Amino acid sequence: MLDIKNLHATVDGKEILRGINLHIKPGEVHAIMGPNGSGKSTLSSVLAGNPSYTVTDGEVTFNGKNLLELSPSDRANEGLFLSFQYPVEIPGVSMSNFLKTALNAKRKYQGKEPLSAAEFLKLMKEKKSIVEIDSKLTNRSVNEGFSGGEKKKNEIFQMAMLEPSLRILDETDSGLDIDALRIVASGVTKLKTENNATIVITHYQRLLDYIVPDYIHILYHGRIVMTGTKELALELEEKGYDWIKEQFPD
Amino acid sequence: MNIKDQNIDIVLSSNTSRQEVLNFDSQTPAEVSVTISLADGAHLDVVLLQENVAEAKRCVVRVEQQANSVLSMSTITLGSADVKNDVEVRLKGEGAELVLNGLYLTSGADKVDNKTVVYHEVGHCTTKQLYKGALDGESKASFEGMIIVQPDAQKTNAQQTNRNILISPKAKVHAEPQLVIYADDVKCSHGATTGQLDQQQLFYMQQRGIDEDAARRMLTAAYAAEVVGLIPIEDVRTRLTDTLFE
Repeated sequence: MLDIKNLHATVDGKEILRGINLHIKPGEVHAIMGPNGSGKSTLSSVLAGNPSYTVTDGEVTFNGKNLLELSPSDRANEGLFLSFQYPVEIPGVSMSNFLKTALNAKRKYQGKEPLSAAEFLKLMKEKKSIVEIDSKLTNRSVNEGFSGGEKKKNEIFQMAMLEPSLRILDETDSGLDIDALRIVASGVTKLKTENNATIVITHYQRLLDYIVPDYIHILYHGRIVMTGTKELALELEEKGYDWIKEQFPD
Repeated sequence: MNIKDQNIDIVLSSNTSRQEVLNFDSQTPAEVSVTISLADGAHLDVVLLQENVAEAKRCVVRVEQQANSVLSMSTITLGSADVKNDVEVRLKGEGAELVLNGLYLTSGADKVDNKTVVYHEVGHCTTKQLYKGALDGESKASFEGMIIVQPDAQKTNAQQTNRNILISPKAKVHAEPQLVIYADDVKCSHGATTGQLDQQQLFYMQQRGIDEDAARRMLTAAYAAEVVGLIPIEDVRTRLTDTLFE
């Protein structure tokens, strides 16, 4: 589904990703862990096509297409979804208008007719229950005045609506209390199928108790320096990131 | 109503109220003069609507407000090629309230100028002014707004805000907000900002599958909706909001 080969990327002229290789198949859950500044969020931004980042080398293939040639919106409509670490507030754009526009953009991309107002409302109602999101929130402007937890729930709600094939969760656990974490993580798990894949980017092992990964990759200084199964997260939790830093000096 | 005459007089006697929409279209004379006179306690909501007008239009508005009268005037210029609005309001009776708002969305080679002058001649009057513009293409717009607080106009409360966003780097805006105060016991503020659409918002929308053009249109609509949302005439407000987001 996703094939990353020797990916290099810079931001403001500084090289952050220094040769990432990653292969992800449908149905898999991959966790990417690493200390602050290792390039975790850069990887998610580059995959989503954030114009602040420049790819200087490497290839990314998504569903057989050259991902790096697609616009950010085409990447999304191909099935790539990024749950933002810091979801953006858009005052004046209502959640329902935003989601209807996004959903119908995807349907158009797939050659499908737009949803009717009734079909859309029915779908909203059905998906809201997955993340226990308050109905009042979906009547407001996108993320405006939402608490940290509400914003993260809203990301998962949008994910439920758009049904992406590749779900990238960028530090979804940051700023969440344990109850919100449980709701968000169970939303992600409920929406898991054998056809979609998940990349969980996190600093802490905690989230991986709820979203159990098939593989764990340790990112350090812009490279994946270690890959293992879920036991690796426990080892990391025990020994701390210094353990990595000692093995891979600058 | 659609404007057919060169001169329009709106005169409200004491404690009466009215709502009026003045529609500019191709039949409207090139130069229009609007005179508004509000007696004590009169209340007028008026919208000057300049929507998709291809021909050059000049509109001069002269207003006098007596004590405790209320005027809400919104000048909405959407997709019009060449418009100049010149508004002058004199607050002549204590307790008069003025809400003076404007919106201009321009593209292509459009040119829209708004000039406003408000005289606070007596005390205890209020002005709240918000003009917003979003400029695309190679369009040009200007906002020249002056509020003059005369020596007798103590306890004046005046706020003037002008915000602009340049959607295209080739668009140009000239903003000149001015406050001239001759009284000492007043509460006045003014400010002007010019910026671009928020890149983070644009990226967030694109990440959800909305293409860049559509995302720009939605953000522009959201930005403009603030002024439209302040229009007290409900059917105009609803229709314009729908137009913005369609």
